Amino acid sequence: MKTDFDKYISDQIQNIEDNLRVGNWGKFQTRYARHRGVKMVRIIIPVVAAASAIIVLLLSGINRIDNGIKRIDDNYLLIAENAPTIRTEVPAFRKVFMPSLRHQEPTKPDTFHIPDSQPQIDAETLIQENVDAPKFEHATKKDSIHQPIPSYDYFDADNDATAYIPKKSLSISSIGISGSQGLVGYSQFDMPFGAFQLRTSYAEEKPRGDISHEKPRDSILVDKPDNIVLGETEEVKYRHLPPITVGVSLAINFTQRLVLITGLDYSLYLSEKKEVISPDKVRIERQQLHYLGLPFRLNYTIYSKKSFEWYAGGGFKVDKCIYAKSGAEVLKESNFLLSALLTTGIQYNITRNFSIYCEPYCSYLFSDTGLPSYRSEKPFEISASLGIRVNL
Amino acid sequence: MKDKNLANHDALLAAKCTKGDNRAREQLYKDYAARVYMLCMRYTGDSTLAEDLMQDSFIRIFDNIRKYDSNKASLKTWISHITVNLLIDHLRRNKKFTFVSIDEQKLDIVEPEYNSLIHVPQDVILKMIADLPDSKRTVFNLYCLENYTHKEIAELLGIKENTSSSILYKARVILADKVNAYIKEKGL
Repeated sequence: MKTDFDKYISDQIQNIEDNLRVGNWGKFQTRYARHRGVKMVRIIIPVVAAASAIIVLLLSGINRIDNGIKRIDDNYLLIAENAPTIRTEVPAFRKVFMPSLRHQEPTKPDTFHIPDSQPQIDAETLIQENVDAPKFEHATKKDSIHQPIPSYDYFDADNDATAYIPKKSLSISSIGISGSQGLVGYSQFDMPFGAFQLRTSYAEEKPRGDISHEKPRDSILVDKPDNIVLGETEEVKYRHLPPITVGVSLAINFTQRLVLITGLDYSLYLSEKKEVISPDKVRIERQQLHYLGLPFRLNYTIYSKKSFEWYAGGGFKVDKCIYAKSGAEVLKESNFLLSALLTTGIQYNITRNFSIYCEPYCSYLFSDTGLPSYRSEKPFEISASLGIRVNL
Repeated sequence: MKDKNLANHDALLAAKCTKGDNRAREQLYKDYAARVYMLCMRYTGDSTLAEDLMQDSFIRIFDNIRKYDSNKASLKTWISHITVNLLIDHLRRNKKFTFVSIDEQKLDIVEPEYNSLIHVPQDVILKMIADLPDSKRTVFNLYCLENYTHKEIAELLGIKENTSSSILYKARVILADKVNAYIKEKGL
């Protein structure tokens, strides 16, 4: 029970409180900002760790794909795109992304599509039909396309039916053998002893079943491999795929309506690089550019009701290439990409700290890039992003 | 009517703070800085530490302002609770508490007369409270000034209700002695 003494003390304390002027708002703001910064770092660290884990997973996945491509790149660098009668039914992605699939199905050779009037024939048939072909005496040096047609059982039939030509065979040693079976194609395999690789081609000139020993029109073999020097290309073309971007976004409230948006973005730019080495030879490489980006943007909340917000904003983003590769070659891209962007979007606050958002945006890339990519081809970009945002 | 207006004002201020309105935060800070500082001062008895803890308290207040429900308590009460909890945590963390049950029967309390008491300056009273041992000061503050019951104090401090009441009694005795001594000394 309270006594008079207690009540008196309480009154006196209240009196002191009423007349006391303490507190420094400016000082407190500084301290509070520091506290929020520390808090933000505590949130950022696991978020960045999670983002890094995603990136590592992506990179490892891409590397796995790329290793497959590398295996092909090493052996099948050239593609006879310009050989007029070559058409394979193997989907493009299969050639690029699933090289191993072909090896997993040795008993199912790919079929070739013979354009126009040419009949369709599959590789198995081709091999069978060539069993009776004249026995080829082992070629030991660079041959011309006018060599006698080899017997196909000399080669590993499992590796038939591909449009690729070995790269090493160009620079080290290659043997060109022409034959006519009503189609044009290439066969490749690795010699078990690894001394060099052989390449064969089937050049269509005469009707099916009739093996030509004469000039095969569509041969894409290198008649004189030593005359071809890689890198001295006549033309380079790129086909850029739209970038894949994943990231985390952080929102820091400055005022009730003004929010700073930052975070960390990872972008993957994939391109297909075609180098025309000679009229009938094209080298295809896959270029990968991995970027990490830091966006800085100010959003202004135009309208908000309950958990929904509509906002507009603008800012800039700095991207830095962390890894670049073309074919098997690691490239260096030292330039920073600076882009400005304008956006509007809607946000739904799931909790106070987490929101989902959808925002169309347009951005313009100011910087020059050392390596060509989708962004360098299209500096002005209109796109939209969906995501989860951490609100601080 | 006045209470309703106050509740609305509190709710609005808290809502604005929740949305990150810096002006609302500044308003809240200025409105309750004295209250929070006095709480810190009464519980710690150290002005420098009180100022530091006041800032910590406001950080906790702004971090948790979204949890404030104007239907349950006034903003002043809620802020006081947050601050008291922070102070208790601080005292506990620094092992300031030594609770010993005291036999009330053995102690005589001679409360100063009201007419003499009113002549004691406020800062002297504040100093007397600050000079109390930590456990006694805390219980005295909680019971006499924050209007906690002994049951609530016992739960908050992890002690028995009897211990709380005996500590309060001892605190009163000490304070009464000090006030009486001051009155005698000054000839009031």
